[in-house]
Amino acid sequence: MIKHLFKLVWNRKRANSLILIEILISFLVLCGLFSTAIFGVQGYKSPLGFDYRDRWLMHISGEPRMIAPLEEREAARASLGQMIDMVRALPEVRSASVTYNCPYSGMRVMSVVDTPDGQEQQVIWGASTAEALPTLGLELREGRWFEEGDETRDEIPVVLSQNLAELFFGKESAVGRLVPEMEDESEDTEDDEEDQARRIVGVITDYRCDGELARAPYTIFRPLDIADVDDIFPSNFIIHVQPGTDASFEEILNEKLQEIQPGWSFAVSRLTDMRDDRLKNVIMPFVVVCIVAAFLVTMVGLGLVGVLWQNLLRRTAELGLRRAMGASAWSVQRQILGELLVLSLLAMFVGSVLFLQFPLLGIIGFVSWSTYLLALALSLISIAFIVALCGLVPSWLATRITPAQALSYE
Amino acid sequence: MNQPQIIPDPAITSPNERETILRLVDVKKVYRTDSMETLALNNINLEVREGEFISIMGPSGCGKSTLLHIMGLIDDCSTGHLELGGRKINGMVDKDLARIRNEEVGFVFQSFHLINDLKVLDNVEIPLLYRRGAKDDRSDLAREALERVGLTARMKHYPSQLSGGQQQRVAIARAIVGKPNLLLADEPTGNLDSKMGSEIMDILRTLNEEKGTTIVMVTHDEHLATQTDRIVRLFDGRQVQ
Repeated sequence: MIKHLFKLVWNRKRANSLILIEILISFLVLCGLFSTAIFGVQGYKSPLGFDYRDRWLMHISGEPRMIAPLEEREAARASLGQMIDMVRALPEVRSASVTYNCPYSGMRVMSVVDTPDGQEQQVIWGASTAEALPTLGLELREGRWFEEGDETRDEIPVVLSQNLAELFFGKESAVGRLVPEMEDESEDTEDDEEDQARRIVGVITDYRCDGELARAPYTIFRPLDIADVDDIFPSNFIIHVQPGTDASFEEILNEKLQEIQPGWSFAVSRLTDMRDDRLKNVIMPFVVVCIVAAFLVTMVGLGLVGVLWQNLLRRTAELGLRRAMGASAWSVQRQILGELLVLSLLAMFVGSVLFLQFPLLGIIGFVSWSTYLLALALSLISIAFIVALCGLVPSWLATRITPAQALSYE
Repeated sequence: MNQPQIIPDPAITSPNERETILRLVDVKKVYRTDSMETLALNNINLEVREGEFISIMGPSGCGKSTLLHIMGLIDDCSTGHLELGGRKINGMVDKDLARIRNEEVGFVFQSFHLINDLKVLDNVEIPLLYRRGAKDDRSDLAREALERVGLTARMKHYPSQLSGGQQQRVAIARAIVGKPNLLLADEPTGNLDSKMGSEIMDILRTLNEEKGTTIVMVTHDEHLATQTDRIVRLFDGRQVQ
């Protein structure tokens, strides 16, 4: 019977092409949705690499740019140093750190490194003061964090995110090694930072500064000496406040900062709120896409019922003949569902070949094979279920026609 | 001295001495709609004996095809009862009816009812698809049936590539492939010219005479009907002969 079903479907390929295309489109839509959802869920369940609770981000505006006169920049550096010292001394504050790598802020310094396979890879290349580890709640996995005096060494000590360490060195330890593209240049090290070797002193858990639903970027932290800030003036610092610190402290903080530098303005954002906003910004469009896709799949499902019913009406006499030749009502229903299954398998095979080009060609490189395969499996199951559901009613209705009626059907 | 014994040959026994294969008792068929009732068959009593070739005649709309459908278990009667091969059919579930249709009854239709998307051989195999254990020799049985109707050369063709007479021969091969006891033919020559009609009639008669297949044929053609063992005449749903 299986051979017979394949023969029937193949010989009616032109009549079945519409159903085939409908199933194929639905399958690809579901593959896309499931991949996105699985990627999101996996991200949500993975460690964030930092702590957002009781963390405030202080944004400074009005600070001098690199084009400002030297005296103005020196005054600004001094003000920044005073500010951070003042903030750390407040009883509501547990720690504070100046960093270019603030989570959720979208502001970061980027650089490009060469990977062992010769590819160029963008990395976050941000400096932070030594207090960033406790202030951001970073998780050290190997080696150490920065310490006093690191910023004055000949080699720049750097801390890598785990994904970057693995990209460079695989399962081997990264600590003590140089960031690869600097290895040749380290031999003739000069004072200029461009030519300084980057020595890896530690590895942290992937620092997912764009939140749970975004890919984990490759990150390199380097030590920041506020007194030496020159080109890009840091405009953010992170404050780890005592649990339960309320908005009244925000006002106090603002007043004290204004006392140090009245020409600048300061704005506080809680990382908790920033995280919520980021989640909403990602989830809402996805929900909208899901609703649109649900409508699409429903429309396709209804269309499938219609096309199938139309096909069956055309084949009423054939179904009557099969009943007369000894097929029971259940055999006829099974045959219709079987044909639909064969069609679905064909559509899903074509869809799978198309969909698997994404991981094979690395079109979206940061999505893992396991995500694609799980999405593929879920799409296969869903389509099989939807198609069976769509086929159930027309096939049942087809069996309601008696063989005698079916045979006389024109 | 021993007297020579006379052993009766089943092939030459008269129809009256043969076993009844199909019996209809007081069969009535009523078609009901919301507004009206139509009496299609009224108290039909009929016995068909093994090896008989019966024709059913009557004007259009007199219930010939309805009677044939009831005989072939593809329609049920409103009242009365039906026996096939000694078994009471009334009250049987669909699955059992389907099995009996598959194993014991063959159908030939006026409009052939071949599946145009399948080749001749595949069309002939259809009844065997619904039979358990026929998987291995399905193709051989289909070829054998096609050989009997003289169409082995056309088994790789599609029905649309055949003439009307050839298509009806394929339909006969399909009807006999499962070696049924009873062959029901609903105006098998109705869509054919007289020459092709005669060819089909020859095949049916050969099946009846050589293989002993019981045949019930609905026809409008008096000439064809006279070639059968017995004629049953219907008028307005009643059996008049």
